[in-house]
Amino acid sequence: MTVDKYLKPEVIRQISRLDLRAEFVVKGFLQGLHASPFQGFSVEFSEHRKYTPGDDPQDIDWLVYAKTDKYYIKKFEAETNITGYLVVDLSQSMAYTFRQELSKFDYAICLAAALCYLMIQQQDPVGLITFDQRVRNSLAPKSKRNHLGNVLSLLANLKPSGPTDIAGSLGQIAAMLKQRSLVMVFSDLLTDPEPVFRSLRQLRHRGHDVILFHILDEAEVRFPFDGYIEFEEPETNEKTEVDATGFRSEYLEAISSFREQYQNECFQRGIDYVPLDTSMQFDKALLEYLISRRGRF
Amino acid sequence: MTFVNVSLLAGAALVAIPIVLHLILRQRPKPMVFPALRFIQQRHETNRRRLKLRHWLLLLLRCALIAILALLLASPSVASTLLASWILVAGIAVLLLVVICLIVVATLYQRSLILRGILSALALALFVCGSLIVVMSWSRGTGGTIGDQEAPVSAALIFDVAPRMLYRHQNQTRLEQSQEIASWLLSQLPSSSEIMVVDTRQGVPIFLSDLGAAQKQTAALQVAGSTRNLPETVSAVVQSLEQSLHERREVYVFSDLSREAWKDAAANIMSDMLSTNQNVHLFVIDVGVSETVNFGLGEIELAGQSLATNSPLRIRTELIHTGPGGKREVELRMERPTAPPPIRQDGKLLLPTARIADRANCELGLDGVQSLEFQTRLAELGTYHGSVKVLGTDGLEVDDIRFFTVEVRDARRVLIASGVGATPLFVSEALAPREYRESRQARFQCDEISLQELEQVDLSAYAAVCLLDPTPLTPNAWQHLVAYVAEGRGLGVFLGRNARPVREFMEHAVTELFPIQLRPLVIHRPEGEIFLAAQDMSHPVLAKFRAAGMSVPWHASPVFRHWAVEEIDGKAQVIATYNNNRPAIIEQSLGRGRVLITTTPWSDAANRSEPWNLLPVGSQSWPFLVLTNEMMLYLVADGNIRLNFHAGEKVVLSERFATEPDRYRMFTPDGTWEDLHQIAGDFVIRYTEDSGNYRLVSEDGSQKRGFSVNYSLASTDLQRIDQENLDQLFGDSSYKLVRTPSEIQREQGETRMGSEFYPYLALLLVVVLGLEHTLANRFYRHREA
Repeated sequence: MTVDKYLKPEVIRQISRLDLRAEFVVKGFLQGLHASPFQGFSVEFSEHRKYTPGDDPQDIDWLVYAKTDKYYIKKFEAETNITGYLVVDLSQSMAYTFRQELSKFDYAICLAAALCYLMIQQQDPVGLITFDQRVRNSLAPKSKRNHLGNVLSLLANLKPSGPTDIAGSLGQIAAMLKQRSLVMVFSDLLTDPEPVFRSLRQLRHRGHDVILFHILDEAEVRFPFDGYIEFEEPETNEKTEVDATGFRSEYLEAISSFREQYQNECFQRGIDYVPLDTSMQFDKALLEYLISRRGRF
Repeated sequence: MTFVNVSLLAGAALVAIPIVLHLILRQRPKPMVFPALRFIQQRHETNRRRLKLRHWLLLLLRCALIAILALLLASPSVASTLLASWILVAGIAVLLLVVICLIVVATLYQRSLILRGILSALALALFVCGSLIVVMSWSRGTGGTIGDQEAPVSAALIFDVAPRMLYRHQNQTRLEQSQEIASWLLSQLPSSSEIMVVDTRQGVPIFLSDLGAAQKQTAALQVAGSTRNLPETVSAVVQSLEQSLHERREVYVFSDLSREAWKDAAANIMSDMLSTNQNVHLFVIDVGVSETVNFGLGEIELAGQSLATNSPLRIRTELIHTGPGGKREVELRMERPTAPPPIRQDGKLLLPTARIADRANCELGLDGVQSLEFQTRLAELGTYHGSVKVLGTDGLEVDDIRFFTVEVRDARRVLIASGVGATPLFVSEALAPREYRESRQARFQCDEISLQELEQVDLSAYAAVCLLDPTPLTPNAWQHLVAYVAEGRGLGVFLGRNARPVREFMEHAVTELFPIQLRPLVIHRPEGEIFLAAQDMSHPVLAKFRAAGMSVPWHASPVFRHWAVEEIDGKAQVIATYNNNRPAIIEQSLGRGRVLITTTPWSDAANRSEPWNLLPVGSQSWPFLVLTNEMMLYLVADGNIRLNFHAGEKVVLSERFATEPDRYRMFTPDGTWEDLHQIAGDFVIRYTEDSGNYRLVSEDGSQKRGFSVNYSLASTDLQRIDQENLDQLFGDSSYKLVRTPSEIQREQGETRMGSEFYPYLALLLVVVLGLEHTLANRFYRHREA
């Protein structure tokens, strides 16, 4: 029996512990890869170089100095690793699912957990930020093993509620992050795209790498409704009556043009845009991360 | 356009159901949470408009579905197949137009090729369909395509009930065969049809309440003596059918196709009526027999109907044969006036027995005709009934016997009052020759007096008074005569040389008798170039001269003098003129009596100096003899006594004498009797449909009268009309000549078809149903991505 199956959301749902979920997802993913994306960068490497004026004297390796009487500093460890931030949207709309095992939020959490697991394994420091109308929780990035437990326990206890302000929150995050980082945003992006684009540009402007995991429910992508339906928006409680059968093609056009808009914008800004829906396997998301990481070195 | 079930059209009101469902009972939306609502809202408006359009289209189709279904069940139809075809073509043209519009729209919006292909194929199919129907309509004329045989019709059954329909062939009369076919026909007519049963007697055709009534009326049909011709009856029926409920109208004529039945001046009217009423289909059902074998008697000719005692009775008739020839014996039977009257016994009428008066044996060849003459002497006073009968049996029995009635009377008494110098001998000898007087055969008994004695004589004993060459009478005497004539007697005034002063004839009291203004002028032509010249012989007085015509030797009896008539009253009538066109004999009616005036005397002897005329003594004086007799018969009102009639004629028997009873019991030939009452001096019998002797007997049995009725020769003539003549008779209008029920059924099928829209509506219903289904499925199908 392979662990491939754990890449399927409907299977992973049966596992209640988030740490196990993350582990299964990552193991299933790694087993499925033929050529290792890990080649070409080392997680164990540490290097010394001669001290040059301007370096932080705190970084001087005094053991080397004791042996050789020369100033060497060991700063390479920090530069070879990437600091990742998992930015999770807590909006009420993320709690939606129509006929899938996982809601968008569950899917985002699983994915975030898996990425967190993977990054900690790579000894990359991982931080966690959640937001709705503003940033709600944040965990500073660390690469220690026990940090995984902290992140996962926080993720497991998150509950989506209320309206959201993605653009404002991303702007806030951009201001928060001092260090160049890999910002992985998990959101359904169901808001006006223009302010979001501005915030994303802001993040890029500050030197952050951004992966935008655009998570939609399978129903939001395929519109499998029939008959006369009154749709209600969960955050604003707005209602619209529509004949779903006849409207399907229009809706699909609208949603694909929305995704295309993000795709184009992200491509122009060097942002990795990963359109997902809750029926898709996790490997796509993970592969996207790894490809993105490799591209950085 | 008519509908079989008009009430079902109300079903079209059910179109309200989809409309109500659409407008009022709108579908309740299913509530559902959906975060990506923004994308729905973006496109919602255009979608809503398109959806609305689709919904309206669907609603329209569903309404059309119900409306078409209602129309289909109501079974609309038009009477004319041609009209039906054109309506159909119009419908197809509208559909074709819609499809062409759809093709244009599909091309403009660059819809799929398949859609455009399907629409083009549909357009082509519609075009071909329409063209085919047009071509078929042209080629078939009024012929049809598809139709419902069971739609109700307005049917009229016309029966020829002339006596010849009693012709028996294969132990069935023509009328019985008509009834048998009609009974079958009625039983197979569609239910709720309107039916008219008409025979050729007079009467207004009306629709009967139901099939049962029609069956009863058909079964009760009887032969009638007086009938209309068929073209006239058909015209009347076609006119009546114009008010019928149903568009499909059928006329069935049961006829033996005899020439007489179809001979009519109304044939043109019938042809025109049928041409203008194209929706009336005429079926002529031939129940006749092509090879008839029959002996029949022609019309009876009697020498006179009112005879003097002992005068001979001559009866002429013809034996007419159709067929290969044969022998027959013909009998003359007479009933004596003294025979006991008919008696009712056990509900039946026992008629007096008739004795055989004469017999004749005849042998006829192929379609032969033989004249017959019987003679007998009638010695007793009273009414004689008789019959001439062909012995033996043949196809048609009604024409084997002819009936007649004659009256034998005493000599009528005539008073001849002569003026000075007038010779009454000419008139009295003309009326009652001595030989006849001696043998008691004279029709008249003449009493001669002088003019002066007139006032002393009781005139009531005389049937007529003749004034020969009178002088003007006293006013009293004139009044006396006016009263006498007004009672119903006759007066003859033969003016001559004594009529002076002429104005006294025109005095007030006398104008009633003299409706003329005499000029005090005598036309005098001693050369003898004036003579009586009766050219117009229409008056009964001149009837006897009609046969001789122009060969009557009037010129042999010249008139030298006659009175000139200046002016004639409107009521008076000139019977005869001289060859100078001046009036010779003038008639005037007064009360119930008559007056005849001549402008030259009837009493001038030839040896008299300057005689006014040589009428009685000319070289050929037989016209004088006949004219005098006829004038007198006319005056005593015997000349126009008619005792023999054709069936259907109104019979009027005048009162003969003052002591005549005012009530008679009449025994009719069919064995029934009825009481006749005198009305204003006449006995009037209106219903004379049966042929035979009609016997009138007074209550005490002492007085007997009677008359006879025969079928006209035309009504028993079996000669058939041929197909060519029948075609000519109908002209442009079409008719179907059929003989058997199966032929009727086949022809009915051909004429009834083609006016129904049922199949087309059914086709349209299927198309609309298919469209509705497709559209609904297209709108609401589950799209599996």
